[in-house]
Amino acid sequence: MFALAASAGLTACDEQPTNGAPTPIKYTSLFGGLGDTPGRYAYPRCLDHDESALWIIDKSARVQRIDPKTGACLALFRMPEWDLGKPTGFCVAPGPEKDGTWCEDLLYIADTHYHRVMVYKAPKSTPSGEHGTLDPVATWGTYGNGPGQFYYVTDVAVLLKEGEKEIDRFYVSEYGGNDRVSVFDAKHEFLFSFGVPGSGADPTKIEFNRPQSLVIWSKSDGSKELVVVDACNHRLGRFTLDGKLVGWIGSAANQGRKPGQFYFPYGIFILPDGTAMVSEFGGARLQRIELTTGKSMGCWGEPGREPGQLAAPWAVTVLNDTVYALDSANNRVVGFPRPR
Amino acid sequence: MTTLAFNIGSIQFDQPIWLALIPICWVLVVWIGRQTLSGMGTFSRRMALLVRLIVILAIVGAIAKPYWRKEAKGVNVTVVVDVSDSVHRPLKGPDGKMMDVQTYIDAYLKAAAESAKQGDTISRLTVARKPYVQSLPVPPKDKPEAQTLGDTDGSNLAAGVHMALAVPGKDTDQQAAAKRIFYISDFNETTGSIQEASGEAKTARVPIDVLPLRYKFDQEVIVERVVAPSTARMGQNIVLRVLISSIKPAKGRLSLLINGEQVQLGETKTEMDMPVSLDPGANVIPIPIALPIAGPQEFKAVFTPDTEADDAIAQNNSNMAITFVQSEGRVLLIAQSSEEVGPMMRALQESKLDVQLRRPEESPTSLVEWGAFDAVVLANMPSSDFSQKQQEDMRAYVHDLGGGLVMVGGPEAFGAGGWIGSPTADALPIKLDPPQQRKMPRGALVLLMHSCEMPRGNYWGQQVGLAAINNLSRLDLAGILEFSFGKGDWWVHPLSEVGNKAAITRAVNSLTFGDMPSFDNLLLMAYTDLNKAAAGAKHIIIISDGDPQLMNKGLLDDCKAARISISTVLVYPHGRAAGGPDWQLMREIARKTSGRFYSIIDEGEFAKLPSIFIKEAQVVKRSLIWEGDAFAPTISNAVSEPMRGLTGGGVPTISGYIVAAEREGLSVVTLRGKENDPILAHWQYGLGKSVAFTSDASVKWSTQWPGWGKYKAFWEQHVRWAMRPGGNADMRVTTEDLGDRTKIVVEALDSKGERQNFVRFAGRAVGPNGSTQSVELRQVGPGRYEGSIESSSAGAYVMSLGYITPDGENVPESTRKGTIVAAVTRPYADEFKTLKDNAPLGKLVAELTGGRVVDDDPTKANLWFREGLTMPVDARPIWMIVAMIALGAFLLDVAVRRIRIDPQLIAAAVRRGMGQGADKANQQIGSLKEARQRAQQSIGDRKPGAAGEGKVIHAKPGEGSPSSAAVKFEVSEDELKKSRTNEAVADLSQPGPGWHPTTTGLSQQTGEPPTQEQGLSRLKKARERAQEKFEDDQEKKS
Repeated sequence: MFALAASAGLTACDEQPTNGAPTPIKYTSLFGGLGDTPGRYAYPRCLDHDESALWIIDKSARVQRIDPKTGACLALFRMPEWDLGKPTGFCVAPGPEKDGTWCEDLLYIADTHYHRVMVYKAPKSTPSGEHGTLDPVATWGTYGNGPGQFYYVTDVAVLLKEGEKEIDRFYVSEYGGNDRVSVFDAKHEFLFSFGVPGSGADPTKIEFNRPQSLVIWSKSDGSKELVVVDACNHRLGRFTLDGKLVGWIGSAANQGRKPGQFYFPYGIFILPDGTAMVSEFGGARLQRIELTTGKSMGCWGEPGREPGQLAAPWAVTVLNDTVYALDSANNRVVGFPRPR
Repeated sequence: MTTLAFNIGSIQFDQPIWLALIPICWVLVVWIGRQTLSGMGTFSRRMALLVRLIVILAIVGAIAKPYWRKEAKGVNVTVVVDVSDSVHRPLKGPDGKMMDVQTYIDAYLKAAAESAKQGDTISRLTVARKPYVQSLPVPPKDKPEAQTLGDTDGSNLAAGVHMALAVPGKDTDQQAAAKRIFYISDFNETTGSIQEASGEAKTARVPIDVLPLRYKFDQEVIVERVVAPSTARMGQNIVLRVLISSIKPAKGRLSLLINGEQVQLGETKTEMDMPVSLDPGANVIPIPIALPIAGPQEFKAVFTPDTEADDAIAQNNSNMAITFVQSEGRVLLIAQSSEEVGPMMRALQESKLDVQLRRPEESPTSLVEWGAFDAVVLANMPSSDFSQKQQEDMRAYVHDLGGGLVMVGGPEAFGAGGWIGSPTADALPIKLDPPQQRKMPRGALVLLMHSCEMPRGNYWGQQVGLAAINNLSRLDLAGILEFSFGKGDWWVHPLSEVGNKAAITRAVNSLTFGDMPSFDNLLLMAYTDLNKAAAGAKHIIIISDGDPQLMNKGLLDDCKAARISISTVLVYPHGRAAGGPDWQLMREIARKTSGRFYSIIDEGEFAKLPSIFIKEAQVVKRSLIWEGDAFAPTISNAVSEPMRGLTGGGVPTISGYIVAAEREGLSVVTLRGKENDPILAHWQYGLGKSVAFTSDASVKWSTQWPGWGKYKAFWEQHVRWAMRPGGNADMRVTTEDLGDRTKIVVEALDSKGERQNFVRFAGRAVGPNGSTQSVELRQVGPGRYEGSIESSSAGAYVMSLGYITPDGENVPESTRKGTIVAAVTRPYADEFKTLKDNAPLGKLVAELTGGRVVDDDPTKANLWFREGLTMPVDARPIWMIVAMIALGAFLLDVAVRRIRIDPQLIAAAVRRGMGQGADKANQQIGSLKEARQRAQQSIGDRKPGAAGEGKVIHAKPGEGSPSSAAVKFEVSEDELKKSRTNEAVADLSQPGPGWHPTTTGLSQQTGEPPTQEQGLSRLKKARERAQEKFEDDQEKKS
């Protein structure tokens, strides 16, 4: 297995994306590998980044800060419980610490199978203790299908108040019979939720089938939307911040592997130009989508185990002009230049 | 020609005798050289001579078989650690603290590694019952992850030596290294002989260093043996003898369990055990026991010391023995209820057979228990009611213990009962797969596999898949669906005929068990294909953690409408508590489609999974049931033994049976049904016999049979035919522990008590792990027969000894045959009998091999000790290289004599070459031209005024015109003398710096530029003429 960054022919972006034909990614960095030592992973499923490094959580519930250039582990800690399952989504965002002090790097982790959201202050180095243990800054959520309760939490999105160091809302998605998005205020008090299990496209009745990822889209005109990756309906949903449907991109009936179609999309990252990089768990590829039109701008990757191929990519993020895909079933991260 | 090798530095000569030729040849070469090289200059002559000497040296050297030898620098220590149970005792570590053996050894090796030198390596082996390589040579401080240790209830130290010798000795550069073995053990061995093995190490010149793990128990009590007869008759009273040894006087209590139930030994009813006082040494405690019931009686004696100080090893505080209490015709009838087999049971009881009816959950769980019965009857029993081990035991019971098996049909039996692919099916006289040409409705089964989130999910996924597939017949349809990382939702094996199962088995083994996000697509695919399939029963089995989504619940209604049932197996769900979303979904799927729901929550329950899949696969096996208008089966073999006397008037009608196929070979089909399907068949299988009746035991399909006048005879004859023969001889079996083997002694008496000679025995023994071995007995005295079996593993060994006594007066053959069943038990390993280390054996091994008894202090151990080691040498043949040197030197020799070498000119050329580089070729030509001109001038200079005969023409560069002079080459006597010493030529060749030998003068006489060859030729001729003239002059003078 490879351990650190490898490089293949660094290519101009115009050589990628493909027009839908499965093609290996011409990667510029590739790191990871199966293992339980720092810098290696056991089926990683969550990916985001802070100012200079990647954050990855794997199926052994280890949270690692990773140097994006070398793949070296900069910090590592482990979630307190993982017998029943491990996190499947998270985000790095600012927020208040326990004492109210504003912190730029908090980890909002969807602790999926413990039906809760856990918030940690991102450590800069590995905490002491076995596997590195860390006390959460905050946690909320209980098991159930009532308002504010969770079945299986999948992701968290943080909405900040404009120009202020203050939380406006939290958006939390879940599945398993509660397929919906719940909205909480800064104190984790439940505000409202939208969505019920289903596959319909009726704007008056929002239906989700495993909403796997959430992201706040700050548009160029200053307005914001919430984009939901509706994985098992093979579509993206654009919503106002109050949960009103703006539009669907893709559908269960039109699932597939052609450009513009989705096959179990799981992860999303929105670029400043209003396009989104979407990782498709089932499609084993990344796809760039123009959110306003739903048009496919290109695809990267093909199924497989070789470098440049993907197996069950759960998540995607962009840092320092490099797109990083979490190649989950290959236990690695693959990076390539951000498309323009 | 072979002589001892001879080394010069790193060169080794395998046949050094040839080297003696060197001085001889050298003398000859010098002598000849003085004659032949006299015309050359001193330098050239010496050079030529030197080169010739080198040629001789190289040629002779090549003949002497030279090798380049490289001696190893590193030492490899192969550490063999005894991990048998006897050494699992705390030891005092280097820091004085008590620690377990493995920690002790790790600490020892870590400290000892400090003494290793560069290139030294360590290999690690463990040994108990078998040796295992833990790591090949690695640097001493590396500690690779440990591999399997194998069974640890025995010590085969010799095997450790053999394996250590086989491990290659390599240094850190993977080059050959000298080798030592470092043996860490208590040197108590239960099998093999390390002393013998050390002889092989000595031969291989590998010293064995030893570190004895020392211990000694000052007080210990061992229950050495429970002595009981191997066989007895029902009602007999026997005396058990419990043999207990103790080092010092000890007190405790002795209890006895018969078949797991404690019996009263004390004087009062509340006192189950009895007090015992033990003297030092062996103590025999007799216990009288009555044997009121038949079958195997397992006696287990347990000693409990009054004080813990009296006993150190708990494992050796109990022992056991088994006595087979024989009775006439014991039959085990297994059925769900007595109603189902009522008429058959009554018929057997009326036939004076000792019938015991049990429900399937009360079935025997060990081969010993099965062996207690002479025949076993299974009535309408599905395979899922028996564990895999029970099914394997049933096969061994017939094949190896000579038992009888009678399988009676019903809707849950044979192929419809999931017995296809079972080990038990091998013992049956029919094939459970229907005949290929048989037209009948078939079943269709789809497996939807999602077992990735459970521990060892891939393994269990494959196990359940294979379990289900193995139970299908070749005509059934089967398909497998999964979510794959590469292909998404897809048919790993499309719904198609199972056939010989090769393709679908490959598909099961190729499952990738991807993390399935949703059931929707997959269930739709299964429904679509099943709905189109031409099959009777249609069924889906889903195995999942319940995590995938299912939004299209209408699909479940569609399945129900299409009579497709779905059973769900929830495994290792994220929500452990029943009622979570995973549970709800899986339950809902099963409930809505009339399937069954199973939940397997903990890892300990995973072993149940295959039986669940077998049971579920049976849903589609209903098609193997034939039901219709009653008909009387056809009698196809009226003369077979079990049917004798039953065929007159035919047999009653039946209205149903399980479709199966005839088995080729020795199987005899006596009744046939529709399309010649076998209804009743029997055969001999191994030492035993089996009967198959594919209709039922009179409840549903054969209701007319109990009223048949020959009903009792029918079942009695078939069961008695299958039963293990009892015989009328009195065979007394005793056993004796021989370590890894058990000696079997049989005393054969006839019914009158007389010793019987020439009895022939044929038997088999089945070990605790299911392995079988044949038992051979030979007569060693009047009526006494002996043999032995391997019995190294702890557990029970069941033997079945078939015998036939010699012909006697008025003794029919049927009563001369018989079978004895006996058992030997080894409740704990011999490892637990050792009370102190056997360090002297370790010391002996070290002495035998030139090794050392290593210090307990690891810093003084010096494991990579080099003294006395034979360092391996890597010798590579270099005769070809030496021969090439000889060839090169030979060519040089020619060149030295034929080519004039001017170091100054070479140096000048090199200088010019380095200075001007690119236009080198042109410069060389220019230089040649320049040199030619200088040479011409030089020749011109040698002719001052007019050239006279006998005068050398000295041409000096820059003087005279080369084009004007007609040069004649003549020499004076003085010059000729110089020419002999090459000086004259040297004069020509060395006129001054920058001069190059070239053709001059003569070519210009012809007006054509002479070639180099012409020039040299003319020079040579001139020299010859001068030589001739000189010799003429000499003659004239003389």
